[in-house]
Amino acid sequence: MKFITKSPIDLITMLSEAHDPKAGAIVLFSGEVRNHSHKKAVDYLFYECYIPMAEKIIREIIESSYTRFKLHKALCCHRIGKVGISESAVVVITASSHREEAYAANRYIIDRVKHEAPIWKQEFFSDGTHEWGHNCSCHQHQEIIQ
Amino acid sequence: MKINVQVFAALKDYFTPQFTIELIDGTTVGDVYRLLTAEYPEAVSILAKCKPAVNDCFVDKAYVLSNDEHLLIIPPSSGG
Repeated sequence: MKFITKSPIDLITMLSEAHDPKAGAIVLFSGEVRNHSHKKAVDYLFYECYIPMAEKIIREIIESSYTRFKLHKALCCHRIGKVGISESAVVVITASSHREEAYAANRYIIDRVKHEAPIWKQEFFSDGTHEWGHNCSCHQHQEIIQ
Repeated sequence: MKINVQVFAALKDYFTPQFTIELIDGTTVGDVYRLLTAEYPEAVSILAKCKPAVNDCFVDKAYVLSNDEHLLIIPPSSGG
């Protein structure tokens, strides 16, 4: 599957790829563009990416998730370019026999992708200003799971 | 020797996205950081947070560059 895409992420299609007869739990996380940030209205986000390293790093994170958790499927796709309000910027799906593993693995993957993949968010506000996003806030969780 | 440098995101407020610099043999990644900081002192705080990579692999600042290598200066991720 593609780890990086310039096209809208189709949640239904992606979910259909995650079904597995051994899985009793599927967790889908969709990171979506909200219409406000820093107390300002947001028009859209733009994601810049260094694709060669981002694909390699996301692939390594997914492979690592299979080692750490009892997973049947793990999928991740990050969108780049212009992403509108309520559209998915990143989707992670994990399928496991039981929900505890599926939830934990999903959190592990999204936190690492946000923190490690060379992808940068630029927020475009309704007042005409724009700003590069700050580093993700998952350091504390990273320290716990490492 | 010549090194190709590529920067991303907020670093592009200070530097052109890709440029070539002439360096003497034995130059390290840390030396390049110092050159860039000297050129744009305003970029010092973001440069301090950036991780270097050469030929698509992360390296530390003691890495000694070779002719024609591709140095990436990667700001903290903010995906998701």
